[in-house]
Amino acid sequence: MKRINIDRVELKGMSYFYDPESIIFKDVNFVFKPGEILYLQGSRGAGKNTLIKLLLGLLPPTEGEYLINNIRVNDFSHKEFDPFRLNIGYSFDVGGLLNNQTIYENFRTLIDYHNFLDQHERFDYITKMMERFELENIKHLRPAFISSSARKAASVLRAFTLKPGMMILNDPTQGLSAEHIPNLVELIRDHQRHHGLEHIIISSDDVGLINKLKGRIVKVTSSGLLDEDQIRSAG
Amino acid sequence: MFQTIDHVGKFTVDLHRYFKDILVFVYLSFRSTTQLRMRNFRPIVFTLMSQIYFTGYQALPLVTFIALATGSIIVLQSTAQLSILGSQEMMGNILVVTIIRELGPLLTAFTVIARSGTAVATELGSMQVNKEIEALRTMSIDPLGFVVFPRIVGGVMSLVCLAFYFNCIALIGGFFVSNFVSDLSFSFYLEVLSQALTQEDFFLNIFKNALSGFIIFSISSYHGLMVKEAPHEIPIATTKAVVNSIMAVVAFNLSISVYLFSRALP
Repeated sequence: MKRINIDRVELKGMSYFYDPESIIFKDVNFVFKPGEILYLQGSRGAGKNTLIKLLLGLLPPTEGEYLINNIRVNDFSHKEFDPFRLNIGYSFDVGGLLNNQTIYENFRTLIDYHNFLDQHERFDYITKMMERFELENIKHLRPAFISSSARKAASVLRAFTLKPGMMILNDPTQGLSAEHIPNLVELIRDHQRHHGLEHIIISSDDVGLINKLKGRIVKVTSSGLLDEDQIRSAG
Repeated sequence: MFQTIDHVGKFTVDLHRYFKDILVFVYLSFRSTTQLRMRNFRPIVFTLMSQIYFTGYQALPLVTFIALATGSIIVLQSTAQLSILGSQEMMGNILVVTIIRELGPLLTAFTVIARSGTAVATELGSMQVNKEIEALRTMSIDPLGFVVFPRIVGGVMSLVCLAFYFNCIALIGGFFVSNFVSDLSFSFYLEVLSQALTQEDFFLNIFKNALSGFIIFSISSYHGLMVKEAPHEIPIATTKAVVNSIMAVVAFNLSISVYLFSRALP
């Protein structure tokens, strides 16, 4: 399947609610600028996970528009959205690794399924990726048999496998061992510089990460994604 | 009286909806897989082989035991009863009807439900809870094609092979076990068996087992993926998968037998 580059991502008058009584988002307008690192913050239940699912095309907005490269993708089926989704990397806050496969197979499945690399290239590619988080010695173990910090590292790293143009990381430092946070920062920078990573959206309150990897902080609220100036002017 | 009619009506509508949902679910899983290019099949083939290994190969000791026990009981009982009547040549027909046509498919299906139906429902339920299914979606891997299709196909292939194995062990092994307490000759046994066995029995056996496998793995996968996000839903889904699989397999086998019986009547 051919993947499509993601240049411009925009939410236009977007609303999302499960029923009219419980509105998660109402009339949200926001443009995700290329080259920008965006930190999503907000209280529990503010809608960060819902926003991420909307961006991944797993949930369609109830009203308004979700535009990628000025194409309205609201009504796209899961299959129709796949060329965009293939260019979006996502790592879960918790879980997400395939538990009946080894760590290596978790990466291999993704590569094989999308024919990303030839068979003889993939082993070196995966091993080299794993070296960043010192996972190469445990690559033939299943997730249940490794530490939670190694699971987290594998989950974050897998999101970078297909060298996506847009990256969504959900609490990437939560559970990741402190010594690997600089590696994560380096990984993101490396993909920005060399692999065409344009849009980086991180759901995190981790001050340490924000200090190392400067970006724009926005608060997720039901009325939109507000940056610090907007919050101040709103009182 | 109207209340009874209401209940019957609701039950019929619910049953119709349930099987329609399962058929759509299976259709989508097959459709998703057929749209893949050949090279993408590698991870799916890996899952399919694992399913065959687990459902087919690892079930052999249990199936051997059940087949031996069933075969011995039927050979012993039919020898005893038919010798009273003096019509031991009927033994072949009795064995073919009871083992190959009826008990073989049913007992193999029950064994597979107990071992693999439960495993599939639990595994897929756990995959939902651990966000593995959602992870597949985010990686543009269709869970219906990647997770469900190889389980159904692997399950069907395993069940057909297991049932064939069951028949062989029950018929041949059953004779040798029962030989400890009876003096039936092997040449006579083989002769009556070969006279009774027809091509129709062979195809009927494959048909019954293939469809039973399809029913078991479709229902188990469906209930496994119906788990939303809480771990406590997994045992509920597994129980539903087992109960509904047993009822569907029994109903299917019964309807085939009734149909064939009614066709054989003059």
